[in-house]
Amino acid sequence: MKPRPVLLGTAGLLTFLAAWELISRLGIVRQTSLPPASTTLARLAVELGRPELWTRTLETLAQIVAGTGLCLVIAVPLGLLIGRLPAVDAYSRTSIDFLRAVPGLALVPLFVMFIGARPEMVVGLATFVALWPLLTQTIDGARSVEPLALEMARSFRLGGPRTFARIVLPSAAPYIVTGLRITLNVTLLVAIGTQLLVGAPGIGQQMAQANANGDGLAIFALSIWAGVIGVALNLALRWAEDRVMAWHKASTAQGGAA
Amino acid sequence: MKTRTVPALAMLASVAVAVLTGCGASPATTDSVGGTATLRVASIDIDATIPLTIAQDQGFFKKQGLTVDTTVSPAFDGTLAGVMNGQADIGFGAAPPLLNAMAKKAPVQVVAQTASVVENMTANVDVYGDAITRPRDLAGHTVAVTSLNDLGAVGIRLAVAKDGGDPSKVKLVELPEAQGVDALLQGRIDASVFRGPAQLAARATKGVHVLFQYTDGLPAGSPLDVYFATSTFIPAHADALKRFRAALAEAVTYVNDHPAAARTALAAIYKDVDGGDKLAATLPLTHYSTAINPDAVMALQDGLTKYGHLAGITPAERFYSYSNGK
Repeated sequence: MKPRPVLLGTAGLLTFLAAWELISRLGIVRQTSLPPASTTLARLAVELGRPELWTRTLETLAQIVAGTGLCLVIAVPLGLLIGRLPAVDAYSRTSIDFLRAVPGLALVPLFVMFIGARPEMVVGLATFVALWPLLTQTIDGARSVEPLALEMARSFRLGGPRTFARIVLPSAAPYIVTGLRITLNVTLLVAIGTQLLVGAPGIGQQMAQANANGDGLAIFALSIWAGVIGVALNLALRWAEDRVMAWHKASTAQGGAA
Repeated sequence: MKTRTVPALAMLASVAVAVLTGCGASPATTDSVGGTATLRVASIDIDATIPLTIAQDQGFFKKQGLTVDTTVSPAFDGTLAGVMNGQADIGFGAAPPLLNAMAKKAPVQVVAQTASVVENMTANVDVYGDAITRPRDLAGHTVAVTSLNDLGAVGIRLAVAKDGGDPSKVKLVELPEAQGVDALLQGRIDASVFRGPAQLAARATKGVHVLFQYTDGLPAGSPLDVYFATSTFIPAHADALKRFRAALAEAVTYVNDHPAAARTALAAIYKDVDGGDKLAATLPLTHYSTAINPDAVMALQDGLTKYGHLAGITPAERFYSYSNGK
């Protein structure tokens, strides 16, 4: 990673923390409503020294990875199929628009009733909510294949599977990665939110316990930790993207700027 | 597309499945072995579950030949689903949402209880300033509660009605107790419920004072929080549940006779809360009791029907799966 973006990112984060500290310390927002950043980070450090937070973090990460994995397995093949076959697109477009508009939170009672407050419930709900961005991006990616490239494949008699592997999939890959980035963040939000609502295992459950005991500082600290997890996951995705999509970055202006 | 990507994705999915399997709920483990029964209880670490903690720590469950495995379940919806799905044998929850669930034919019943409404309970409804002097003055004003469906919300309306006011004119809003003091001082609300650690902040704020206890309006003997199980589990494990109640009864007697033990348990619950040690030392202690009052359950349901949107009345003999002393 180049040093300049890292330095700028760190400076931005420190500015945010400084602003938070001042807003709380100066009483612009009372400390009982918004504890200072330093107090919150100190409490986070205490929680990080306890095994419970790490157990909850692993549980949450497992749910996120499983949910994102399921989204990949379902959305990418389906999206490529819909994007390449106009008849399938016509058949499915209205259903997809309907399902993606269903608010995930409204489904929580249904999922809880049938599955219970288990990790599987969190994964199922997160998959349902996070599937749609990846699906629509994959569909758009499948449609973005250059007709000239397909003509060339036909000319060279590559055949269906090789055309798919060498032309269609690489053309759709940047869109899939964009969709995956959105899906990963949505999965994280839904996982922790569901854990908080129904007490399923994870960081959200720990937040709910803290809320029941009136421990507002813990809720802030755990929220910061959820943000750290989000950053870590996005960094991991970017690292994987840099390796898998190196050919794409090299062929676009983005590769020069990085 | 690089061919390394597919095996990498497969490995990622396998790892996630393996970890998830490890995180999943354990299968039912309630078979008696040599007279020892195992009960899985979904509960939460709050002052209401101190008898459960004491029963564990003092060996009262062991004395009854029980092994009690507790899991954290902070939300009633999750606890109810967990009990009905078999994730837990017994759930812990507040009486109002349980009564709502039973009114909608949820196949659950109460198997134990360790606290009910008594006189002189601490269930503060605080105000700021001198404009509001009695419960009926709350008509036309905004009161913060932790949940619109809990005993606090119903108790406030009942207290206003008892004092000759119009409870329908009291506006209730949900607000975490930690935000209550600020909201009072800024005039965003006119009164607020304070039960937990937020009491300390309220007591330390000049001008904020207790108006009344919301439990004053509730029928004496109403259940506060209860332990419940499914209607199929109860007859199949009647003996184990009887021993569970016996252990809790012994724990309740112990806690009432040893207030220091209750304060130690409170200190553990609030160990990370700002001012928690002071709270544990000064919080008025709950007087625990396992006695049940079927008439109070019916009177509570009248109040819940009027002010708590209760969907139907559950007969007391259906609410409780046992009677006093059994």
